[in-house]
Amino acid sequence: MPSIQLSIGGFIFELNAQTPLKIEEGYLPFLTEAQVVDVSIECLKGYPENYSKPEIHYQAKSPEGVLWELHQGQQSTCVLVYDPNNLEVLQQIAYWNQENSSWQIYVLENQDGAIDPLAYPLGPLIWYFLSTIEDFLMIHGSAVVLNQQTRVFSGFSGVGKSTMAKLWEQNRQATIINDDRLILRKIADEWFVYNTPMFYAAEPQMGKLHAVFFPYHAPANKIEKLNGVAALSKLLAHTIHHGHNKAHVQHHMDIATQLISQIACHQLGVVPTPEVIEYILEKESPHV
Amino acid sequence: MQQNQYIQEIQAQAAHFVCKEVGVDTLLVPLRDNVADFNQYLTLNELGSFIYKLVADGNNFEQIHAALLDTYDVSADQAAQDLSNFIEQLHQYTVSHA
Repeated sequence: MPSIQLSIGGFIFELNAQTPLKIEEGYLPFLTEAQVVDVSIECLKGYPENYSKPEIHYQAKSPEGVLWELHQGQQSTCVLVYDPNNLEVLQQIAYWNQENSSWQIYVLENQDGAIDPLAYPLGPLIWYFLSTIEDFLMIHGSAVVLNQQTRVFSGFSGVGKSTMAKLWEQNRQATIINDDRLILRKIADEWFVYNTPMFYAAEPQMGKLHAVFFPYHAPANKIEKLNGVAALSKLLAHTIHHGHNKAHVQHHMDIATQLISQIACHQLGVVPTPEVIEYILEKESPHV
Repeated sequence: MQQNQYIQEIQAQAAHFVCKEVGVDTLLVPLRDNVADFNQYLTLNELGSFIYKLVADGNNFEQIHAALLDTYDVSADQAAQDLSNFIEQLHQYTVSHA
């Protein structure tokens, strides 16, 4: 029986199927084996037996249509995922059982008999749902590791996250962890940063979290340490939420509150030149 | 009393908000169409957090006023005035973000 394991954010996801499995290129560097499984994923071909579309409680929409939608049941959550290239086509029907941390994914499209259970966007949704019950956040951001210290730059598109990461890489030989979607995970009272699979192949990376920055374009470099609700609201604004379930939002708020109590957060006005690195190293707050 | 009407309306909308205490402050976040909107949050300071907790626990204006007098060194008139202003602002925020 085809079976593969992926290590993402330090969690082990095991996919089992009766038919050949296919995964996107971005997952290949995250393959692992013989690990203790955290999340079990049963992958099946075609529709569930006696399937009928459930009542929908939440829809994730784009201007083009519904990307995915869900039914929140008593025993499990049913997620209907549409093909991002043709939103008329249902791509996967996935059931998440929160109690035993398992998924059943019915894959409705296949190529040469092989099924791709994690076809976008279901892969990131699986990590997202795990974030609603485990001690981690998924955030939009880039991260760089320098001297075992990982700095995260978080913000919306266009604020200079990728530019900042490249400056550190080019001028300090820092390692870039990711320039889009990060996992910030608490393990034994310490915080770690992980990348997640992208559409391209990128090696898994992790580092110990040192500080978080929220950059914005400014006429001069400027840093301001954020405390309490100011830090919390900034961090939550860039955390990936779907928020259809109040308990999930509350969980993310609890995790984010723990993070800001241990890790210094800063608002950062940036002029995107190499001088900003020296400025950060000199002015950042080492303490919460 | 108008303020008790406001308080009841805030209490009725409580399910549409999530709140988190951070130190003495509180972050109040609206759920729009059941989705958290972290760009429309409200920050409550220590006093605001104190009052909001009493509102959320189902107290009315008179009960909250009495609790303020018990806890803070403030005159009855001043407490009533400050509480009244706060409830008006909280009500305005609540109805416009629920």
